[in-house]
Amino acid sequence: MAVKGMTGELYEALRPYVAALPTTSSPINLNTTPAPVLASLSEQAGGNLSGFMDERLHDPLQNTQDAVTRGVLPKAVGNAPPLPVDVHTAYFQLQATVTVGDAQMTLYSTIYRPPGNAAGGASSPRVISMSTGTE
Amino acid sequence: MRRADLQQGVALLTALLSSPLPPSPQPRWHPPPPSPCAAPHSCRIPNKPTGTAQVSSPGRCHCCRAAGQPARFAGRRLAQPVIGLPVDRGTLSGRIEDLQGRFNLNNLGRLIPSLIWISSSDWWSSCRDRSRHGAQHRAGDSGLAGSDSDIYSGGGRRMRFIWRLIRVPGFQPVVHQHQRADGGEGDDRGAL
Repeated sequence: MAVKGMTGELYEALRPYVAALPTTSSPINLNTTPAPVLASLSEQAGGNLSGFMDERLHDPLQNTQDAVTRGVLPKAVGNAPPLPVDVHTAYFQLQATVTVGDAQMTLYSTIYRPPGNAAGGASSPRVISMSTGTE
Repeated sequence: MRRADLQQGVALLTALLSSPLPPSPQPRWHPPPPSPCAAPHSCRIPNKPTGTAQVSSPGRCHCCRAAGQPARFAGRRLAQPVIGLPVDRGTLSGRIEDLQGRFNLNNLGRLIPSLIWISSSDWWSSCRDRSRHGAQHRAGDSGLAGSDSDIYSGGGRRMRFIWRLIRVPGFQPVVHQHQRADGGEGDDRGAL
């Protein structure tokens, strides 16, 4: 809200599609991203994408190449910069609401799940930040 | 509300919701398949800070757990929302969202060049049609716009000048003017 030109209305419209993660290298998960975000990444916004939105529920992408094969993403052309996309997620948000009598409090926690190592091992998820009342 | 109650409740909820997160990379986090719901319309509760049952995306029915129909990810129940879990003198509700389905505001520097590339590639692939049908021209462009010059068929190459954005679908002259007024373009042919 401190950005020039940002209004409450704009913020509410954008909120489901943006996050402020503590990293500058977080690819977008094509298996979970909402339609507007997916459409901005793909050349074929329209009917085909809505088909993929349904399809991924039971047949998710296995890797990013799969996204090209299935026509979700365009083929890389020349020196085009690679799209920062993936089919994994490392950052989650836990929204917890506690209600006692008339009082209510919501806590937002960002959970980081480290990627597995090459041998397939995995580390446990851990809470990396918390805030009360606002995301 | 006693602080001890809150801390105890939040700790319990964090444990309940985060422990079922699948280890990475296998099995991975995937959206759940749509679950049949006895009362789908009752599931459509808008997101509110005070809400309990939530629908985070169309077709996902989170109230099905309460209806005895647990949603599953690839055959496993994972990170199911907790709705109205009774605790000492109160209730707990919670849910987990995938933050990597969103644009990371701290990562836009890496993302925007890719998005501009996609938009401009879309234009480049159909530039001749757009020229015929009256694409927006920048002053002085007319000689090039109607020609077969490869300046306007640059598929596979990076955009060199910001002013070419004006020929990308959706890019309006008023945006271009703002950009120039803010000094973002220098001599009007600054490299992108």
